[in-house]
Amino acid sequence: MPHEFKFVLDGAELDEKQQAFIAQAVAEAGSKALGEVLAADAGRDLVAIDVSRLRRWEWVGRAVLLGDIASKVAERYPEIRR
Amino acid sequence: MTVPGDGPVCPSADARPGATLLGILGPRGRVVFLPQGPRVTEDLLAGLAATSSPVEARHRFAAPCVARGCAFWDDGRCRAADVAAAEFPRDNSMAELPECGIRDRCRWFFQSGAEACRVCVHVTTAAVSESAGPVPSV
Repeated sequence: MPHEFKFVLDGAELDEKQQAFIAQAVAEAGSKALGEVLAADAGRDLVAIDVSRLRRWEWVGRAVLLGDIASKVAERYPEIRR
Repeated sequence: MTVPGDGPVCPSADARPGATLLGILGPRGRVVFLPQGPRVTEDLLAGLAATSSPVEARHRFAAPCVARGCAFWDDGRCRAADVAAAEFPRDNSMAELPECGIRDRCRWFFQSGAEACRVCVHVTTAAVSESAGPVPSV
């Protein structure tokens, strides 16, 4: 069952940008609090999955996409294709 | 949930500014979803990092699916979803699908339907360290 936590204010006129800013702040604070609450159970009963069966190109590609080497590979791409 | 754009959304994105916090791993390795999760900012990442490192070890993020721009995209499919379906346990005890906030745009749901949701609740995103290479966090 979902839990809803409300932050209510009255007495100030807020434009949409200000409302979005506050909503983001409330969501961030709630997420951090939830993370701390759940951290008490961290590592307990976690499902461990072996990812070694992922194909090599999946890992390599992932690393290339995220790493600094991505731009270097992109620069060399025409050369690699040859 | 306010994932940018209106196209398909990846439910297992990397933790980076611009993504949206989708959920946090809870007891028994089940994801606690945040259907109105916050947009990821540097400040938020710093806060989340206090309870896990890498952040993806205990948190799930959603971001626009980049399809062919992702290493997991192959032959018109998300292979990460396929791997998750093959490797992760299904939670068949769920009477209702979780309120995740992205189902109407989720790439995995488009691809595998409710079956994806039963697996998704146990998925941990594999974090990749730029300096040390892949980290087997799932």
